[in-house]
Amino acid sequence: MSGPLRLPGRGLVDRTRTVAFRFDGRDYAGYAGDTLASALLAHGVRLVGRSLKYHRPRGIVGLGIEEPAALVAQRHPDGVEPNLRATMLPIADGLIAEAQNCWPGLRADFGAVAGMLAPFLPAGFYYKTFMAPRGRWLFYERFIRRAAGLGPAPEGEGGQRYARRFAHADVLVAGGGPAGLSAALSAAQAGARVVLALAGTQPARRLLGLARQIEGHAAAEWAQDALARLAANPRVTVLPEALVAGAYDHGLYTIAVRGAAGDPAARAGETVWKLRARAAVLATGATERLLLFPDNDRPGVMLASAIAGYLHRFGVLAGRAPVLVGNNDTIYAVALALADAGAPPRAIADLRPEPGAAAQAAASAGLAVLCGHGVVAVEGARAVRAVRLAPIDPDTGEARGAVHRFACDVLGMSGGFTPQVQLCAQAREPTAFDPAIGAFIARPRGGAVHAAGAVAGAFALDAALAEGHRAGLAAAAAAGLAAPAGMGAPRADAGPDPSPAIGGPLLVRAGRGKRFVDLQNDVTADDLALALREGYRSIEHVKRYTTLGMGTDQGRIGNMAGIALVAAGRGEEIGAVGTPTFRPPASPVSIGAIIGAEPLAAAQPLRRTPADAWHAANGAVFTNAGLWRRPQFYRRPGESDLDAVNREVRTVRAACGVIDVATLGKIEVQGPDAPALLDHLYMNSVGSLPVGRARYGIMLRPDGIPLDDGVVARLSERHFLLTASTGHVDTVFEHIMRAIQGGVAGMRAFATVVTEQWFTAALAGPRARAVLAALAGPGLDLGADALPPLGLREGQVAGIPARIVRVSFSGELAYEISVPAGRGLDLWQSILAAGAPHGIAPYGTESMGVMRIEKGFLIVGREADGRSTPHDLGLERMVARRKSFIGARSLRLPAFAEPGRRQLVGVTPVAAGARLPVGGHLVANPDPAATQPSLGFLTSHCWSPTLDRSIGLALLADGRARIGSELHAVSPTAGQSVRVRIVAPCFVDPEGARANG
Amino acid sequence: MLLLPCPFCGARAETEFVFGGDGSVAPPPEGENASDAAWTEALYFRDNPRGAHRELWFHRHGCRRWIAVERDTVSHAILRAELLVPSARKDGQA
Amino acid sequence: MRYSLLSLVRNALSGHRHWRPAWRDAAPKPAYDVVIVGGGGHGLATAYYLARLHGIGRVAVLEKGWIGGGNTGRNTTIIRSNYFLPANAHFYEHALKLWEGLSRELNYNIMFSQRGVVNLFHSPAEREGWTRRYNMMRLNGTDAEVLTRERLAAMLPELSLDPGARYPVLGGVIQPRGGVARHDAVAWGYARAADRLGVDIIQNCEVTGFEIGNGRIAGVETTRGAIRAGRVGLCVAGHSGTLARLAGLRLPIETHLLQAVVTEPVKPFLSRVVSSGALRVYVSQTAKGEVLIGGPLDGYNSYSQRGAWPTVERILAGAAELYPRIRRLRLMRQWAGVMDMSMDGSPIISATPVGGLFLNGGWCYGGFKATPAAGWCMAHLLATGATHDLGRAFALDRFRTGHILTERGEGPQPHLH
Repeated sequence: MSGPLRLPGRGLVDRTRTVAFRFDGRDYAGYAGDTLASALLAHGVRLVGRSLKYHRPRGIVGLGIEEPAALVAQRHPDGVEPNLRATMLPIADGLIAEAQNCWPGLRADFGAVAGMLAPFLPAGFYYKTFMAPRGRWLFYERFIRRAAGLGPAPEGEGGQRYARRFAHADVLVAGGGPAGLSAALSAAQAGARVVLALAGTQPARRLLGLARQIEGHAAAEWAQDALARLAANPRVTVLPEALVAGAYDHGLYTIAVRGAAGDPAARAGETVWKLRARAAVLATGATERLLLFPDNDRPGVMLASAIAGYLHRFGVLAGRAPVLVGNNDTIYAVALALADAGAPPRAIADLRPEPGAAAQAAASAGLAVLCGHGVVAVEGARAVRAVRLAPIDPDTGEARGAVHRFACDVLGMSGGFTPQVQLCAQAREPTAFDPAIGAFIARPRGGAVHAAGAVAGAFALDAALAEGHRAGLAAAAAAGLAAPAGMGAPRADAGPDPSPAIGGPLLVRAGRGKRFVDLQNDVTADDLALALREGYRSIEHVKRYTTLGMGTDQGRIGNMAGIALVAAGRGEEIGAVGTPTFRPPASPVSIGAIIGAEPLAAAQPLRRTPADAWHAANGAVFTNAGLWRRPQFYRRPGESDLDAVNREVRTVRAACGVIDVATLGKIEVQGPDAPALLDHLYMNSVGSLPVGRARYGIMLRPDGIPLDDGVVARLSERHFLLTASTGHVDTVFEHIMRAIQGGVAGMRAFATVVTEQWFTAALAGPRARAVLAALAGPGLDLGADALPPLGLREGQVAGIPARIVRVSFSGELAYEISVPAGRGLDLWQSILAAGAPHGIAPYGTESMGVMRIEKGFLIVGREADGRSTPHDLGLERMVARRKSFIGARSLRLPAFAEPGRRQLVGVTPVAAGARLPVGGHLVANPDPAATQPSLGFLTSHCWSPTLDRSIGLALLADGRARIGSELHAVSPTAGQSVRVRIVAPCFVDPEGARANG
Repeated sequence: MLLLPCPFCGARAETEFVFGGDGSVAPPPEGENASDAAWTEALYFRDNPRGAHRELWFHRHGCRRWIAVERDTVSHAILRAELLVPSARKDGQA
Repeated sequence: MRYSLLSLVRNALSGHRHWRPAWRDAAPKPAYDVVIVGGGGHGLATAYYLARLHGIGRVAVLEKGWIGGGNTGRNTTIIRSNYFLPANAHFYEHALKLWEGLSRELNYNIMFSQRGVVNLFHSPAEREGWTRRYNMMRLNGTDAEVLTRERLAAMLPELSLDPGARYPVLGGVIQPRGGVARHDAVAWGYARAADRLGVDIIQNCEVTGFEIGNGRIAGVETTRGAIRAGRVGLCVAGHSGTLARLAGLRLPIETHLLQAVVTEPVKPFLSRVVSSGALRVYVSQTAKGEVLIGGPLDGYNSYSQRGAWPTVERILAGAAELYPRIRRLRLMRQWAGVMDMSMDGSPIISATPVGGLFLNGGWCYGGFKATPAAGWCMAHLLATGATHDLGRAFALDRFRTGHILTERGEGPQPHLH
């Protein structure tokens, strides 16, 4: 039921639990512990997908992360997830997987016509055509885009299947082979907090089925026991099914772990760990390479080690009639395992001309060994049926003798082993070329990063164990932990270690058919030759021109062969050619897991003022202000947005209103030198402010441009309170701290942000004094003499200790009343209750904005746009002449005194009912479609219910000289044009009588 | 992701900090009497070294202090980190 | 050999054995009229226009590694001219016009896909700002449109317009002629075209010093020997400061990292380039099917070409706000380019205090899209010694007089640009 190729008694699957799944529209069964690949292979399924460019039939090639071809899409209840490696996808009841990149179906794929056109589609063909006529690329591209892309576009969001974790460790061990386990054991014994990331649920593949002994136990048993001991150690965290994906600055590693946090048993979803490790041991092993022979991509052509892996891990025979081909001794171990499982290879082709000891041993065991032979043809398009082997000239790669045909149903290939040095390279540690294995090995400098085992070139079991042990201790030492005396490395028996050393030709030229270097991107040996011929000789040029190794498998099984071909083509050493840059992650990582379940809300939590709940319950329409939400206005039934704003403004101007300004930045500055500090910070004079008085002030950046504005109040001789714009308070505080910490030695002044400590309500309007008087405690004199404009008083308001500053941003008589934040809601409700008889209304930021435009008050970020100087903004009279302050010198740069600068003006349509356009520019020609210079632009504008007309502020070239003249405000994108009059930038009560009354 | 050794808070991730730019920038000795050339040299021109770089970081989500850091701009190794303190010079800002 | 469908077919029949190298692997000669330092898009375009428009053929492009290996091969390939300041707007519009004819001009398909570049706005203030900017473009004669939320929904059905989002989308702007191009092909196409006009493209040749006498440049020293030239152009954005220091110059530039990432490839589902200032992210889908995502600077001086992880988290979070289903995609590659961040956010194409030494740098984010116009202006400067009107505002001495060109107005803090 779990497939005819499942052998009894072998593998680590749970045969008591049958799992039903569906692939490509058919139902299958497998066992718990199977991957989609193992389960399909058990059923003899060969064809699982179509290739990217030529739509060639493709099957399962590898065992795990290296899989280039067997990519499937998984159907979820809420959508589809593309590009999953069948070799990594655990089967579960109800799993629905689909083949990709084929239409109408996997078997009959229309796209396969591209295969027939292949001669016309060499690498980079698109650079040479589709150029005419001018501008038509978009047209061609539509077809090319549709043909490209592996799987379907994703659907659904995956929800809680994704999670993020944060952790710290002394030592990270990447890899659960003999070196990794040994390293984890020794580091743990040295007392290190260890995180061990295993690629699977079990120790690495090379420990399974290994007929060797470690410490007197079978290798697999020792490994299980080692894992159990590590898992039982409270200082060790074992992460199964975990890939160390990236190495970043200062010991940060990202690890992609299967399973969403909280539900690891389900093995669904993915979690990304961000691990800060003091040191790391890279024991990431080596991956087998493909061989370059004709049609080396046919379904049924697999990595030899994968065939062994399916046997040992899953009890699955990849085929009953295997043939093996290789350039190293490891194929003989696979051959013996197959023979032991009752499927002895029909033939073993060894590309090396001279039979070595392993070849001779296999031959004497009765296996058909053909030395100096390679594959010259693979028969069968959708599944291997037979291979043709012939003697291959090691220098030319051509056949030089009789061809033998062997019927077979699987072809195992081994082109040698490539150490997985991605993390080593990512960590900016060196690698070195090892000619014996034909690949680069990790050679870290040995500070915080160490390497052990196959990744460092130590393939022999005993060496891997010993190196792992040493690396674990060295990493623990780098983390500051000394090893206890008398620790020895685990020892292996003296059994045989098949050598990964390679020999024989790199490329079999004999025969027809494509020799794929990159199965996922359909890059062939001919493509690489073409790239070199056309002058794309740097390995990076070759990669980019042919797309070699740029797929999701990152060319794990083919890149080294490609590099060797490029080196041969250039007549240079492989070490001189080098590898393309390894870029993180080492293997693709789910975006859902990288960002976590609710990313933006978590990263940028909404800030609410103490009165927020009241606003929400009373019709507030909110707007974002930095991270805060603030009422924009309060809508009453039947009102439009504009109705609501107009009503609020009229209420303030006629009676009174109150606005929650708790978000306003508040900074206290204290100390005997506080006046000097503030005079250094503000462009206007503030140090001379009397106690109990406040003043509007502007800080400049070093380049002379306003940084922020606000009110400076002097609470006592040595104590000031500054306000800053809601969005700028952090920047302003940091600016102040920089002036203190980086300023003059011995300055006795300090600053603290107190924004969150206070709730502030601004009460504005002709009835404001009456409302406040109703709440004022005994002794709080609100009379014009006691509390004049810009005066400050402390006292009780509504029974709450409060600070009152008489300051107006609306042009009306106004008070900013601050109370401890915890009493904020009390104050807010008390003001509204006290104001009810006076017709009070709460108002929002939109209404506040209308009133400040009516008054011509600027906002930093709008009128003060980061380019305008104080002079441009009409604030030149505020600039102190007799003191030094930040930005002063810059104001004298020549550019700031030139004519033609944009200056702040007021703008209003000539026709009373007309409205200023959104994003409008001021121009001479009224035609909104005309190409013409912009003389200036609106910075803020609104409908003024006070004047019953549209008004705005603008920055206009030589604006002050144009006051009284007429121009046009145009919005070409909206096709709008309005004749406007340029006026002084204050529309209501320019004398300030209302606020000062 | 950098780990910055804050003198008050210990080693903390860069996400807690705000970068403050080149910390070696100093206004010309003539102060506000400097020529345009001398003034703009300090305002706009930088050594921009490939290697050790003196720079400022503000621990916004920590102690809220400026830290003077020397960091290698190639390896990102932190060579030194200390609290920014006033120099003996007058007028510490460009 | 001209590239065409016909030549492709003809070569297919002979097994593609007769294609010629796209450019010669030239060895350095002792002297040139003009030496260009930097074999990226800008340097190669400069060489091409020098030969093509100014008849100067004795030109060498010196590249320390492989051509197109710097920021030309590391960017998000977006091309647009949606600038506010007239100097930037006219310059980038000139670039865009050159882009539109570039494949034909170079006889190399750089795959300029004018699929439109959309910027979203999330607040009334952003709406005002973007509309002001796009109105400015129209006044300058550039294509620009403002999109309501409804038009946006019709144009980009894949975009999430959830009104309950942290920063709900209120609308957007589009430059329909904007798009993306194949970045490597730009370097290769210019190299091939320049090579045919006699330019020597010399790879693996690093400049180690400048020969300067009496305040004038006389040549360069390289790892492959000294080369004499009376005019030298630096086109090495990302490393301008390092090279300029060899000539004794200090620049108004800091070097910062800018990252980008791609997902694994899937069938097309994103039609246009979409960016959001509030979410600080831009997203497009490549012809190959990868989703290409870029964002802001890492935020501190660096030459490391290795980006920090928090930036990746941030830009992916932003991209998932726009397209929630990309959570189901996997991040395939992450990389970083080292950027010349000028102190005002605008580029520098300029003479320098050293006679005969000219600088093209300070490109911030704008380098790739500027390539044709930057080469065009730089060639004019090298050929005539005088700045073309299009590049006049980009002179180095603007930092001496206060005539700074700042689009966003953050002040002299490059990490905030």
